[in-house]
Amino acid sequence: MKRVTKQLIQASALVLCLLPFSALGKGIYLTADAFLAESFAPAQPLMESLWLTDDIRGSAKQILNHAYPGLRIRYWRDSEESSQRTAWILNEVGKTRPITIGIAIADDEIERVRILEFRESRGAEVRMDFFTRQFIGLSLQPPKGLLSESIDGISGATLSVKAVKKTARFALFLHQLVTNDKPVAGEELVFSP
Amino acid sequence: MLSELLKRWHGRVGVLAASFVLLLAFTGLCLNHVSSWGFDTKAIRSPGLLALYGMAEVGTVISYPLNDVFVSESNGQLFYQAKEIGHCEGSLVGALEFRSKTASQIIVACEQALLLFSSSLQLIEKVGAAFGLPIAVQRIGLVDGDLLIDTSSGLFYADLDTLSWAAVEEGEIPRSSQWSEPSPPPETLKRAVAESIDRADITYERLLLDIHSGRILGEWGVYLVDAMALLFMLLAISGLILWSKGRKF
Repeated sequence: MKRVTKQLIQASALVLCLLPFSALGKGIYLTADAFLAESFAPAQPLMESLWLTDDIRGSAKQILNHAYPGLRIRYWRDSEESSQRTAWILNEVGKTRPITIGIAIADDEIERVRILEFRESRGAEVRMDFFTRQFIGLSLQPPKGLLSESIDGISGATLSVKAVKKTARFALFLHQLVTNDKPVAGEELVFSP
Repeated sequence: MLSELLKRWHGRVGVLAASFVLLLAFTGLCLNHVSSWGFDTKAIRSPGLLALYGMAEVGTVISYPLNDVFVSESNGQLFYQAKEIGHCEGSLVGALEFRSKTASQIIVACEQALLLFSSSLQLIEKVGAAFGLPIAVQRIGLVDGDLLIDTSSGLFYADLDTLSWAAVEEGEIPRSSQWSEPSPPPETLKRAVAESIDRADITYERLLLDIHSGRILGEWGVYLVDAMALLFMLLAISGLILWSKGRKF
C-alpha cells in the first residue's frame, strides 16, 4: 500500500512538471496606489474626474470600437500646476474579461504603460516590459489619431495587444482633453477604429 | 540499468494514467451514442451540474427593494426590475437611492464594486478596489444622507465624489442608519429575471464533451488532459521500447 502511495506521489509530481505554466498569467501585478506612486513620485497626485459629453463619447466609440461604459472617468494629475502629467487607470476587454491598464502621460506622450490586473487565461504576456516599453514616447498622430509608432504584436495574444493599444490611444485622447484645448472631439483628429 | 529505470517509471505512469484512461473511455463510449441514448437533447436540470457552468438556478435571484421597484442579481447579471443594467462583481449586497449635492443617483453595491447609476439608469461609473474601495462590501446604508458601507475590513463613510473612505467604529454609527436589506421579489419578477438570464440549455452531450476534454474543470482541466495525453504518449513509447527489448512487464 505504501509503495502504491509513493508511486502515486511520484507520478503526480511528474504531471505537475508537465503542466504548462502559461495559465499562471491571471492576477494582480500592480496596485493602483503603486502605479500612481511610481508615476508621480515623489509628489502626491490629485484625483480629478472627467464627465463624458456626447462628443467625447462619440470619439471614444471610434477609438475603442464600442461605447465607453460610463459617464465619468477618473484620472490623476500632478499637483504642480505647471506639470502636464496625467495618469489613467482604464479597463478594456481583451477577449472576454477586462484588463486593468494604467497609463501615465506627460506632455502628450506616453511615459509608462503598466498592466495592473489581468483576468483572462491567455495573452498575459502584454504585462511584460518588452511589450509595454514600446509605448514610451508615443503620441497621437493627426489626422486619424493613430499611435505615432507601430507596436509589435505578440503571437497568441492578439486580442490583449489590441486592447492595450486601444486603451493607449484612448488615454492619449483623454489626456489632451484635460490638459489643453487641442483635440476637442471631432476637430483636429478624426479618429478611425 | 536504463531498462530498469524505464520499467519502473512505465509502471508508475501507468498507475496514474489508468483512472484517466477509464474516464476517457467511458465518456468516449457515451459520446459515440449520444443520439441513440438521447444525451444530445436532454438538458441538465441539476443545480449542482448547472453550477459548474456558472448557471444560477431560478431560485437564486437576489433582490433589494428600491422605492417601489427591485434591483436584482442572478448569474452575475444585474436587473432593474426585469431590465438588465450591467454585471455584478460578486454577489449583490445592496441598492439604494442617494441624493448627492447635484442630483439623485442610484447606488448598486456588489461585493467587489459599487455601481453608480444616474436616475435614468445610465451607468456613471464603476468603483472597485483600484479606486480604493474597501472590499469585500457586505452591505450599504445611509446615515443622515451620508453613504455608509460595511465591508470585511470594517465600516466606512464613503464619498463617491472624492472617492474617499473614512473608517468609523460600529459604536459611532447613529441608530438612525438605514441599511439596504434584501427582500424576496414578486414571483412574476423572479420569472421575468430568470427568463432574461443568458442561459442556453446545457445538454448531457455538452457535459460529456467537457468531461472528455477536461473543460469541465476550466482551463486547468484542459491542461490536465493535455498532460494526460503526454503521459499516454510516454507510455506508448516506453512500452514499445520495453517490448522491443523482449522484456515482460
